[in-house]
Amino acid sequence: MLLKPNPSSGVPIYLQLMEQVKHAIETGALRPGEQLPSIRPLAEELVVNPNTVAKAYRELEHDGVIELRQGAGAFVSDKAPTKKDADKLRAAQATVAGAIEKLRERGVTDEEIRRLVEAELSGVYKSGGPSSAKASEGKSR
Amino acid sequence: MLWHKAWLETRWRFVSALLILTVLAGSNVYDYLATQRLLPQLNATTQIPAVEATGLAGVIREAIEIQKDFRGFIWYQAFRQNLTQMGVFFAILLGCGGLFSESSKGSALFTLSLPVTRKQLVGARAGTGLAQLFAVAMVPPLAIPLLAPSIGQHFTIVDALAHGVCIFFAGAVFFSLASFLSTLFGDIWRPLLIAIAIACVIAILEAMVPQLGIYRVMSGESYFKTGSLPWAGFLTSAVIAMALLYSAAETLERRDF
Amino acid sequence: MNDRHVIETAGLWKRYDDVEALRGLDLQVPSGSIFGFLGRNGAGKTTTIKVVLGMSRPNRGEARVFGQSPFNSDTGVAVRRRTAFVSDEKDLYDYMTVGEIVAFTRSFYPRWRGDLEQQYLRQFDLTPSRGIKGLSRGMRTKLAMLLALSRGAELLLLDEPTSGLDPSMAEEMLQALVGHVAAEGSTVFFSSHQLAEVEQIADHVAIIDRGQTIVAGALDDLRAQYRRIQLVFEGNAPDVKVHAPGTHRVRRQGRVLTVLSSSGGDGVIEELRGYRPSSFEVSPVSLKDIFLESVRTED
Repeated sequence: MLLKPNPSSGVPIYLQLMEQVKHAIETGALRPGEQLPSIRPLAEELVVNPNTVAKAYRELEHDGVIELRQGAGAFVSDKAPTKKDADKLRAAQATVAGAIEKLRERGVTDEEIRRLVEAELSGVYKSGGPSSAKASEGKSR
Repeated sequence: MLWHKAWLETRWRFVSALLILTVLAGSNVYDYLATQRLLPQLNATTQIPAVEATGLAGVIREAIEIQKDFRGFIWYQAFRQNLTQMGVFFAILLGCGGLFSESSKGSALFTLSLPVTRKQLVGARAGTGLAQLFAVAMVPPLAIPLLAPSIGQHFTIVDALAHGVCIFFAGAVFFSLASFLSTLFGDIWRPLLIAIAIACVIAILEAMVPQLGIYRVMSGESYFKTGSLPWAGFLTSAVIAMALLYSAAETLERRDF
Repeated sequence: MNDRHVIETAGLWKRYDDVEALRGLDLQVPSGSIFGFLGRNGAGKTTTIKVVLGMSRPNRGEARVFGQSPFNSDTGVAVRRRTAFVSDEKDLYDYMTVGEIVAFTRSFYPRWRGDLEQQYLRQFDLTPSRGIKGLSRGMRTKLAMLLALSRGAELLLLDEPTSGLDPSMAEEMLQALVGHVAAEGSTVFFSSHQLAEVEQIADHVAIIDRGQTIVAGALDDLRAQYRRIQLVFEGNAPDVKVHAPGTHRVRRQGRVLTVLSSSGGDGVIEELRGYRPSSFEVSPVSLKDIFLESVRTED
């Protein structure tokens, strides 16, 4: 069910795994209350570091997406994003599609768009700091 | 299981040595038949008193005298010559190899990653080798008392064993020499060839300076001539062999892999 | 030297004849980690592993495994009893069979795991009666891995574990390794040229070059900290020394200035603002880029 993460994409593997779990829950592949694969067999199947899987699971628990039950394993929490949130995501996707279309019209290439998004997400352009103001200044030419 | 490993590493050398030396010793028995046929002519030759035998002539005269009877023939051909020469060769062969030469084959790193000390590695190899040398020294001479009756001759088992012991002690020196050289050179050829070269040099020197005596010990000359084993020779051989093996262990201890 | 680190080296120097293989190498390998050890050919990876196992004595510096010295005769044996090593060439005894070398190796390790031995014999399709001499490189690697994984060792030292293997066999080896770590909790220290594979399974890495550690740390931290900042100028890029902390490499090519920073890049942008770049961008850096930037020869 879970796909092998891409180690060279620049996105940490544990984040990729978290995204996959969240996606699986949204699409209904994983339902609230269902059990996720245990860390060991999952790490072996995906051929990734078990600590990485453990970290992904811990972060998912922190976000309230899953529950780690002592001795029993990992389960999708009842408060996990449901279909309602899937709708929210669909709307978000429409927003992203619109933004991309606009940037393309302005002549921004797809590669540049991707880099901008990644940089934004990785927190380089921190809001409120002088560098971010300069950043937008730098890019607007 | 280090001993077992050393055994697996060297078993074919051991078997070859055992077979070849046994065949040599056995065939020497049957060589005597030819000598027996020549005896009447030999006796005629040596009875001519005219020539005072000196130098080379004296040596040849003495050689002929010794080989007239079976015991003397066997000593001259088998113990003095064949078993000593081939014995030295096989002693060297058995001593070659070991950890450092493993490095040319790459498996040295695997061995060194095991939870054993280098001294244990050297000890196991040396122990197995010396045990093999002992068998190679003691067993082939036994072919002689076994086969002698088939040509109507007689050779005691005690004599065979005594000579075996002589071959072992002297052979141990060459074995240890090869072991030591193997810790200096990473390949399998140089220790072998250098040890053989040293053996040849010693042979030449001994012809000029008989006191060196290692080949004398190996052939059991004093036992043949006087019936007493060369205890001094045994002791010296043992000391030299131990010193060489100790040096091998120390060299290996310091080596980087 | 503390107990959290399975392997610790400080200022290791090693000279072979006229070649300095290690020039002051510092290393800390956390317990339970999968530690990737990267470097160009000849950078000192194999030498480091040999020193750590007591196969080579350093000229200077200290090394500790499980807090003990690997060079001392007694502690060296104690260290190796808890360690498994697979060499680059994976040479084994060609006068033995698979079964013989398994029995031989087993005799040295009181904590040998017979269950794992059986499991890997099946999984790797190794027949005990097969002679080692005739084994292909792939089969030899599998045998070497079996011997390493069945020892009940707390530390696995692997020198290029997947070298010479086709992609599917390499993946099989990595899977066996990951499965083993997941079940047994051992520490794995492996050197590799395959950056993708290191990124896949390692949680800590160290990059060495010319006998010294250049970069070291948790992989996730490195990914978060390293950034490439590219600034474009109207005229030629200024020939400046960037003083911001964490600046690793500054390259000038015509109008473009590229800076590799291990501290997020903010300070760099601040510092170079005064030169009025016409545009700049910040992008994350893959391990391959970190590696290439760290070991490239001086421009």
